[in-house]
Amino acid sequence: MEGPIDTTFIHLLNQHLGIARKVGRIYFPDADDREDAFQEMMYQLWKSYPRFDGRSKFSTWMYSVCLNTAFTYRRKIRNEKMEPLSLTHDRIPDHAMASEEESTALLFDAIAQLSPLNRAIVILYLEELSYEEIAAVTGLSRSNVSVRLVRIKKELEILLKEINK
Amino acid sequence: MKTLEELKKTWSESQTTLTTPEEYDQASLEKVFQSRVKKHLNKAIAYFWPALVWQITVYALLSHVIVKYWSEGETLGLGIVGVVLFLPFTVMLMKKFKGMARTKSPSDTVTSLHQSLLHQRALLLGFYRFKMRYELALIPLSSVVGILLIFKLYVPGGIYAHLWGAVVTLFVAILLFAIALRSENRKNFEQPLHHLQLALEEFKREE
Repeated sequence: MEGPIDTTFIHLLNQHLGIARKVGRIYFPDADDREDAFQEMMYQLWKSYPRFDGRSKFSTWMYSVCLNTAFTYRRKIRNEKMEPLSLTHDRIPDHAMASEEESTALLFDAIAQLSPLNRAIVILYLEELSYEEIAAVTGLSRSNVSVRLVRIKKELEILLKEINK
Repeated sequence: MKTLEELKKTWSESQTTLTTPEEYDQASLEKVFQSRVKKHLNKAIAYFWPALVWQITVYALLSHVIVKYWSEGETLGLGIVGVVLFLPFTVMLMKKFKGMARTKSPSDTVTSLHQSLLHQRALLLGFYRFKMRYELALIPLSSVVGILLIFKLYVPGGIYAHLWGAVVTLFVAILLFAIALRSENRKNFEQPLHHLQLALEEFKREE
């Protein structure tokens, strides 16, 4: 470790921890892998922070680093070929469960079934990044992002229907 | 059916419904980073250590041969050939490994997911190609040198008296090396490269 950690970084990180949680939840169905990936994201953020120049929002930059880490880390997980259980598989139907929480879980379940790249695109879209910003984070062209989003929407509709059944 | 706008609303609400971790402070973050550094180091050592032990063993054996048989021209020559064969690999292995370990971070020097994947693929493929080329030359040559030395030093009559025995031993040695390397290459290079290729192909697809 090279000296104390920048306090601004700690403050910004704490403010945006939900980003890493969301990316983790969508890319890593297994809880242990998810926790490991979450810590790796924290580490990669800290390593990359000196190069954060403030030209983009901290949240956009954080999404970029977390998604890069998720892409890299996914291929390192050996038992990836195993069919993951649904994120909500261990939930006992609970009528008291807040409908808000339920629809969040369903949305995460549906997004987790998209291809890795489409997951990244939809996460960034839902986070209200512009098409230009999504294109910059992913490396796709703006038009490709736009076309993909139309397809993703249709795919998500089908997935949500299936999950709702 | 929910529209994307409704999904956006659900998404932004998930900020509150998701289980968020406790906040980090200086000490807890340091703990996380130290454990990550240790993990990365252990991973690197897991690959590097067997290669290093192998190199040390080979150099130790060859040095022993060179010192002990200093006055015997042929044996001394075989020992020196062995060292000369291994030396470039040791140097290149160190250099390539250092380069790969240093630039391994997915967020280093890259600006997009696509670039990051291309960068990782180029690094891994570069090292793998070098390793393959070198192994193709090194394994048969070093096996020949090793068997010549073993037969000369420890088998009465030497290689000329047991030509077929030496050929079979050479074949077995190369086969064992090939099996071990195949398994190592598949696990450390071919599978990761395949996954990277699959991820990159998704970017090529114009939907």
